[in-house]
Amino acid sequence: MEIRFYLNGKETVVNAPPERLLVDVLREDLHLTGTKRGCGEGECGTCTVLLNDKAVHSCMTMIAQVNGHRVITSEGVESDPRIAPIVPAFVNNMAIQCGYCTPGMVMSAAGLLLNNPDPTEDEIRTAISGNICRCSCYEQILRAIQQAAHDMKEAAK
Amino acid sequence: MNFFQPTNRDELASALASLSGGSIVAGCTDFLAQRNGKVWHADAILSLTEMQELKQIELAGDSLAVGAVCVHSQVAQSPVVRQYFPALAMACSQVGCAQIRNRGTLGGSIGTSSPAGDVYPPLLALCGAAEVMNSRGAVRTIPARELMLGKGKTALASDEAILRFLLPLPAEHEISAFGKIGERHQVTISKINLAVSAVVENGCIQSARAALGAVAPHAYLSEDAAAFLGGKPLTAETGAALGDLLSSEVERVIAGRGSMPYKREAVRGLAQDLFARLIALAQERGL
Amino acid sequence: MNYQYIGKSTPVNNSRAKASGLLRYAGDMKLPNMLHMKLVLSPVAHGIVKAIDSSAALAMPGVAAVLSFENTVDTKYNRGRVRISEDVMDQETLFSRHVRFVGDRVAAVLADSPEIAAAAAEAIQLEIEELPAVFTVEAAKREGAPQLHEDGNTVTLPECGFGGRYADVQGEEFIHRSQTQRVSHIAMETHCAVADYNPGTDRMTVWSPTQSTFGVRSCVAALLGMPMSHVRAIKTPMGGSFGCKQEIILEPLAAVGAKMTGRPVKLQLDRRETILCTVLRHPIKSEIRAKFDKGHILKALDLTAELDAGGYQGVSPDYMGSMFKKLSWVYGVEDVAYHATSTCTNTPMSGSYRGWGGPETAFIMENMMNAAAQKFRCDPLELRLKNILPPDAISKIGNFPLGDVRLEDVLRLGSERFRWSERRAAAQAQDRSSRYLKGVGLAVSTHTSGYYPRRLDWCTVTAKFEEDGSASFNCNIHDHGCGTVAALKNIAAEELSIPPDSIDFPEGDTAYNALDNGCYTSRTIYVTGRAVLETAQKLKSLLLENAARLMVCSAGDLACQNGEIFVTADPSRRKTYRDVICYAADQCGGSGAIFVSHTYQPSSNPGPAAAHFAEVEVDTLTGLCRLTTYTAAHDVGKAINPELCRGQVGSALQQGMGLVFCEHVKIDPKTGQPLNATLQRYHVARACDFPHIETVLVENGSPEGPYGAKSIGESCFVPVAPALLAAVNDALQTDLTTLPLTPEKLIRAVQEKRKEASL
Repeated sequence: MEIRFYLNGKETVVNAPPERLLVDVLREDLHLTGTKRGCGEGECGTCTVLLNDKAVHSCMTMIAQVNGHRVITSEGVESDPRIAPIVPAFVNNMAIQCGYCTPGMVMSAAGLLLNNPDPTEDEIRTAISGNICRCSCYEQILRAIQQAAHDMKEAAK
Repeated sequence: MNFFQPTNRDELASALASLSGGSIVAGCTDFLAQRNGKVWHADAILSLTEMQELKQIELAGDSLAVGAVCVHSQVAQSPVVRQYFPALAMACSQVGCAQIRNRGTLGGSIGTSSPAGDVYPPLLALCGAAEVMNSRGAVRTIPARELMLGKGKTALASDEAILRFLLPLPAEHEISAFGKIGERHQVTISKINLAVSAVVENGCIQSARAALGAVAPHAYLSEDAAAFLGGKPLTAETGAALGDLLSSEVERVIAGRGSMPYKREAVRGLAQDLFARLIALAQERGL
Repeated sequence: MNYQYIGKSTPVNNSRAKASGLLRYAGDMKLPNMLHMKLVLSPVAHGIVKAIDSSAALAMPGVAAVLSFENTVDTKYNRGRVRISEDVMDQETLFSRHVRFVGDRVAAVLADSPEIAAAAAEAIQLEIEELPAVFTVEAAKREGAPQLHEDGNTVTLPECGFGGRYADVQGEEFIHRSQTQRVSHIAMETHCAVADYNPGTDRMTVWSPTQSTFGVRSCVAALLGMPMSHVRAIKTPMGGSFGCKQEIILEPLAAVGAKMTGRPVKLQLDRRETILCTVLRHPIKSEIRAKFDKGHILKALDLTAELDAGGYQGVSPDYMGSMFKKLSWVYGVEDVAYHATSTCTNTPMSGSYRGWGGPETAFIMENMMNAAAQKFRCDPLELRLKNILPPDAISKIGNFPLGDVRLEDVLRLGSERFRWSERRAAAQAQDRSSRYLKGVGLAVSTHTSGYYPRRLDWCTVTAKFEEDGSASFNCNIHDHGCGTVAALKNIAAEELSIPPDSIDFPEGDTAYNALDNGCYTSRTIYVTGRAVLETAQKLKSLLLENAARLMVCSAGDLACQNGEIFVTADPSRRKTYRDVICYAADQCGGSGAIFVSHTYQPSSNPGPAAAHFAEVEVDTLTGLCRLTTYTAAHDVGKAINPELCRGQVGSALQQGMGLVFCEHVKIDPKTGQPLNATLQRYHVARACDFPHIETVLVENGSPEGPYGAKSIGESCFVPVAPALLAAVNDALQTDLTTLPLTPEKLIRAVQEKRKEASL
């Protein structure tokens, strides 16, 4: 089946079985390996991408279901001015260690901040409770997202 | 493999006619999780995700019609759902994690028909109904109470799909709340959940409905709880007493089950927490 | 001292690449003509595979080969062996004919895509004669129990201890038992190995996120019968380890597949396979007998530990020995006896977990101390302060100086910041009929900063300046993702007076590194860090030697700053590093290449003390617990990167929370089938479960560590579980000792307590 969708801002065409998972299309067919496969059952969050600006599990999405829609992966964050500040916020707040959860975490942060530019601490914790980071207890990640929220608001002015 | 992605009712009916035993999916959060790690084939899949008309939340006469393909986060954040059906908004806000809530749908939750599903108890407590359509385009309404036939089984025929959920607009002074207890505080499957809807006037419960889930094969309305709550003051004491009542009920309903000693106790906490939310809501609304 | 880079919180290596999805882990690698490997696992807990029918699999288009015990060597090996000279039990084979747990490897398919490999693996038919199985240590130890191995089920550690006979010591005896469960490391990156073999040159390359590239090389070379120089092991970025990537598990399989087919092979496990087929933390049952004198001074200990090794004895015999070694580092006990066994059962293999026995021992000891305090009705903090060793004590085990271990400092500082006395008093005064009960708990511990003197430790580093003034260091480093490369870069940068970003620091690669033991036992900062520091100093000396010749002065007249060298007395006389390096290479009198090699061997191993304090709130109706406050005090010597130290504590807390409250790999006690090898049913603590925590660092230096640093990576995990457990026991006035404390268990405890109270 031919699927046309916007991937990181660019129109992209793939030919794949309709039920092929988005995560596999991204990683294997399109060679975008930033999105990870940590569990395959929607629990770890390492496969998180934005689908129409909402954070979703790409391991729980069939490729046919993105036909005509917009997908953003970690590789596309820096070139999307709306959410680009998230990357330096993560880097500078020491919110990255092994990095395996980071792409998914960045996408969850993006999904949160695009829909709720001024989140409370609880709202941030809830937004990332679907992303497991085994290298921390989320302290630095929380700060990074608070920083990103601030920087995104500044940039929007 | 036949993959159907209808965008309107005609296409949907036609797809349902050709589906013959295939699966109806939307957010796929249950469908794909169940197939994780397995080599699977499907002869046919019908994805409802392009049915825009089934993603609407709008008034339909004296009901609110919530499209079956509405995702949990949409329902949780909808101002009209939060206003009129707080129990449903609360339930949807506590399903899984943010990513699941952005994909999983109300129809999917009902369709999966898990005993621990969080959407069914509010549907029951709010006297909701499912509007379903079959492969010939015929539409019927199934009241929530008749929707579940046991674990994993709904009252839908194999060529039927849920279009919308119809929730009768609440009476004046009617409020509702939902709570769940799981293995941890968030991102957890319910071990026990509860939805209560009550008409409250001057701090007193005129009438109520309570739906208890994750205990029996599917959530059900507790007659005893409803009878008890009628006429009681909306206070923490009533909440605690409700907890005691539900505790005895849990003990009867799942007598002999390994999880009973725990659930019999946890339901007290659940009832008290839910009541605290109801009380806060009543105060907010001056009831 | 004002440092430019040391003591600063700087991001880890490759942070930006990690955030933008551009850093490639082993699972992201794609080599031309690559095959995907899928394991075929035993569906039963114990049996003999009578026949394997791969015909259907081999007939599928895209399937290149099927490996099994039928066409691979049956050499026994030990997955924990790093150096070929290590004397450890060899029980494991590449594939098993005699399968010993659900998840034991029987065969593997090699195919063009992961989908084809998975379909082909499903098509393989196994005929297995099932054997009676044992799933608990008790059952495996019973007379007449099925034997998993020729040498029996149980390995018994030779009696060890020090001092006199426990029985002869006077004092009030206190007996305590505890039990910990099987848990998985749940590193976000599932295990992966990639191998490429060139039949023309007989060269094998293996990539994996390993903690020991030389361990990979030893194992692969031995199993394939290849000279070591023909096997190259390269470490890829690691998506977390916590001990699970220390042992050599997938690498030999991928290598064998590559050798057999002549094509590159990738073997990446999914989450279920990672939980079942790699390594889990040892389930341990323990009984500790302690004698205290009237002043509550601990006089003697007699500890028995039973480890469940799972299907094979991997590192388990060493692990139980390692537990013993940590018994003499915290308290001044005169007489200690230790008995331990490691028993095979038909369950997934146990092995390395962060702390390697330290946390396991601390759990037993600190639980006992907390329970004793409860019994003696004294303050757990006071009990510790009376019993801890002073700094510079000698370890009775191994007879070596423990160094400047600041046990008292961490206890006092941590307890002050935590407001221990105040919180404890509030918990004691609370209304016990309340639904929510609060409690406080503490634990104190120490750990290690390297191998010394248990075995020889060393680190060899080479370093060079490039022509443009940047530098490159090379040693067998394996960053777990925790920031060790960043720390080493900062150390080198500090010494060389150039920015850390101008220093390249590739990770472990057996082709280019001198032999090394690998990255564990918390040796990276203390040993490797010191080696890097000394090497940097040596490199700088060589640079200055050349600069002196170029600038016609003596090296002592010169100073360095930000890539420039100048005469201290006349700073206008200056050259860039590049000037000097080019001079050295171009002009007669120059050294040629600015390149040095240096080996450092530590002669000390100061313990990094840690004290953790927890306050929890238990909901006595739902059994759910909330961590309300947590303070960690750490004696790090010197924090090379303070925020990364705090990150380490955070991860330790998460794993400790899981161990205490919700993580558990459950095995069906009747069939040995795994019940929850998926993240939907294996629960970890989430972002919503944590309060803000406080980490206080005690920086009192160390004799040899770079800038006085010791270690933190493992030491932060050691006291977590006992501190949390003590807090729950304090809240409920119980002595719960078996983990995990599920809501069900807590409700039962609450109800039993109420029954007791009403009697």
